[in-house]
Amino acid sequence: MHTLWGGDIVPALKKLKDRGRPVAGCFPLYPPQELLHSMGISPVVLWGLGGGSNKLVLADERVQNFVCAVGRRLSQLVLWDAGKSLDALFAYNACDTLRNLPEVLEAGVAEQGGSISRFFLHVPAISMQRPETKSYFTRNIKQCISELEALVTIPYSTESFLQSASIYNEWRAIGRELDIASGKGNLPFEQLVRFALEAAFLPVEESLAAGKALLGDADGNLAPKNAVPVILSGIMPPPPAFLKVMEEAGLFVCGNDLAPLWRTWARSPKLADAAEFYADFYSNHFPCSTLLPTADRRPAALLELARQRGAKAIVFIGEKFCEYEYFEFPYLEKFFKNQGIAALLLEFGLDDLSNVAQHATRIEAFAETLAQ
Amino acid sequence: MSRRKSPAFANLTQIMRDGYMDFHTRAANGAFVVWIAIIVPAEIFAGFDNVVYAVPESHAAMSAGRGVGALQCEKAEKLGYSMDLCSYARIDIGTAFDNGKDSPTMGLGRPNLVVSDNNNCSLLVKWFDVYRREWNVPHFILDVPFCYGSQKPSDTLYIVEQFKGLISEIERLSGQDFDMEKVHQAMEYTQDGLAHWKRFLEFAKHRPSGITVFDSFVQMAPFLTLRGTPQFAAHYKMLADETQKRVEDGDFPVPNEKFRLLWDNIAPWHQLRAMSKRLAEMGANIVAAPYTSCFGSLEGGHELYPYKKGDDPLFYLARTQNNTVCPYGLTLREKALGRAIEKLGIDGVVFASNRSCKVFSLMQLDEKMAVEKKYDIPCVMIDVDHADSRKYSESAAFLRLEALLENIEAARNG
Ligand code: SF4
Ligand code: SF4
Repeated sequence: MHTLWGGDIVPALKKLKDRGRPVAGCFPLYPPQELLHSMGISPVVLWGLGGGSNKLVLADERVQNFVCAVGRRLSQLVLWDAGKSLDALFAYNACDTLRNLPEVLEAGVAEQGGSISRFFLHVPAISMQRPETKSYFTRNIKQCISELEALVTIPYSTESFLQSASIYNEWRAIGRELDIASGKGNLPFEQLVRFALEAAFLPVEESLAAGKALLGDADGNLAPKNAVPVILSGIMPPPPAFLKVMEEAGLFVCGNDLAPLWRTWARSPKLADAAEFYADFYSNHFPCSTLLPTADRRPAALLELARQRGAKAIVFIGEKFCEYEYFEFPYLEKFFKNQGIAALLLEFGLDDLSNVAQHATRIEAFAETLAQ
Repeated sequence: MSRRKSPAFANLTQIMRDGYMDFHTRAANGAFVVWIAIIVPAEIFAGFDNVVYAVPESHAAMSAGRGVGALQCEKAEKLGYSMDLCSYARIDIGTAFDNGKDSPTMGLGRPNLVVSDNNNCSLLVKWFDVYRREWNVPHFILDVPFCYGSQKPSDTLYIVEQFKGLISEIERLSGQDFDMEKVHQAMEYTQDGLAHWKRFLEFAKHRPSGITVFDSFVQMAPFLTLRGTPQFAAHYKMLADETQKRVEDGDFPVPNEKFRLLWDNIAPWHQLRAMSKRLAEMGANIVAAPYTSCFGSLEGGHELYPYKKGDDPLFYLARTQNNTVCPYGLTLREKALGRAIEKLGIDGVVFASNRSCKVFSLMQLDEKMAVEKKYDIPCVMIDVDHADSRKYSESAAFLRLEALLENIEAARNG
């Protein structure tokens, strides 16, 4: 079973497929969903998979076990699906792991008699403030559009792109509101995570409606009295069992910079044609270790978030084998230590997702220190 | 004469030692010091009067070869850098923040500029960023798009523009003027050396092979630190001539060669001697690796991409930026492996799955399946870390290598 934090995603994929539009499995972290949506493609972002069985039989045949859980689970899903629901894979150069996978998965799907188209966008890893970098990126977006036009019947138009971009921006705004509500204790953090991850497999319109409904229901202060407010930072949310451990240790998640949550929602780019929109999107994104030109802004952005939300500490959730995050942690830990904010680094690998016992002791000890 | 004592090997030791001495001396005398990633085109620095460069990956490989890799890795780990990070990065960070202590070259001093690129891996950019943040040195990043097919013409031009930006940046930071004429000369030295290198590698075609992959791993060092110099060209001529003479004289590294193997991944620097000796005792010779054959070629190929006098050096350097296996995809990798298998009459392939270098390793399971299917030759996958000896088990690796040889033998006997 392919689960999304406990919920089965297979029916969601099937439902998307039944809409009659091509479905594109997008590699994380921040694919250009608006563009795909505007051209009549249903994008799904392939993350948040897990919570069920850790057996990745198909993925293990093609991907070594020193690859992060995001990459391995994504591979398992694509290979299992074998082109039945997913018509295309869309990747950009988010990280070394992800750039290596598209052909591997395409070959694996073909081996099972399926077929899947493959699209790739190179996003400059350097500042787009330099005119030649920006014009190069503009050419890449145009090239990408003409390749996508071969998959779909709807050609690119700025008008429909703007419409799609507004919907996604509205969805981001709802995400922000939900995140803030959760930080105030109006919405359980676990529910916020579930919303973010399920959104990856829903049409954006449905996800937007679900977000609005959730916001309407967000009420009352659920934050336990005397709990210590903390920020969670990292690529993926920790498993639900770990959130429970945190809660029992007297910690309350008042904010996060997790990739599918705050990093995704924090900023709505200015509406413009696709090239301008994405130049802004990738350049001015909420800082992420994988978007190299933004990474330097992360300590200040996290600090600001911690101040806004009244956090007393930061818990870094390391994604095992994610080199981007690994390089940031010593720097971030030092930075927060200098700011007088306590920081704890935990690491989650595929096997830890169901077994959080080893982390429980550390989180309890950390909570005790904070309480003192 | 032992190969390690041959004139070409002695010359290698000498030019590498001189290179590091020259680097330290000129740096101490005020030269502008650049640290670069291995694929950053070093020929560009020849265009300046007083710029010297060091290559942390090369220094890390040397450290691993001299047995101090694990020690330097541990230092980085104590600073909070994960043991799962590339061992080159850990060795370098460990060395740099311990002021070069335990380094075979007295470390690499402090740079005025670090230049990284993301073609081999983006990890490298994050690694060099550690120095920018800790030491407040400028970091110039070359953004080289990954290739699933031939490098796109628009990507070539994009890279050329960035080389121009790098030149301007060095001019600005060092106050030195750039002279393209000197780069033309450097390109000729490199091209000359490359042609001899390819000639050297061709001796792997001979039966028994005139070389082992371990020879080519060791002899790669000048590619990293001496490109664009007369020493570079002269050294590879000497190496190719010497190898030719040995072959003519019937002097082979594995004279009783029964198994001709191909290696896929970076060199296991801490195991070169032990592994080559043990394999040779079994009549096995790993004769080549795509990793050493790719220099001076286009992505997915091994043939020399020619540079002619008067060509635009920046265009040439940009066009060859994807050559080193990691910057290209599965289709091209399978093509490169296939050519080597066919050309060299390979009996089996050793896929060294290297958890320290995910970019090289994360395609190997598919490559292995493809090779087994297309060429019907046995392949094996062994676990290796290129520079951290703590993550390598000789007994586990040789259990598989022995099984590979048995499979080859069994296939021969029908
Ligand atoms: S967790 Fe890190 S390594 Fe894994 S897919 Fe995400 S960015 Fe890449
Ligand atoms: S991960 Fe691989 S390509 Fe990157 S620096 Fe390390 S050895 Fe080189």
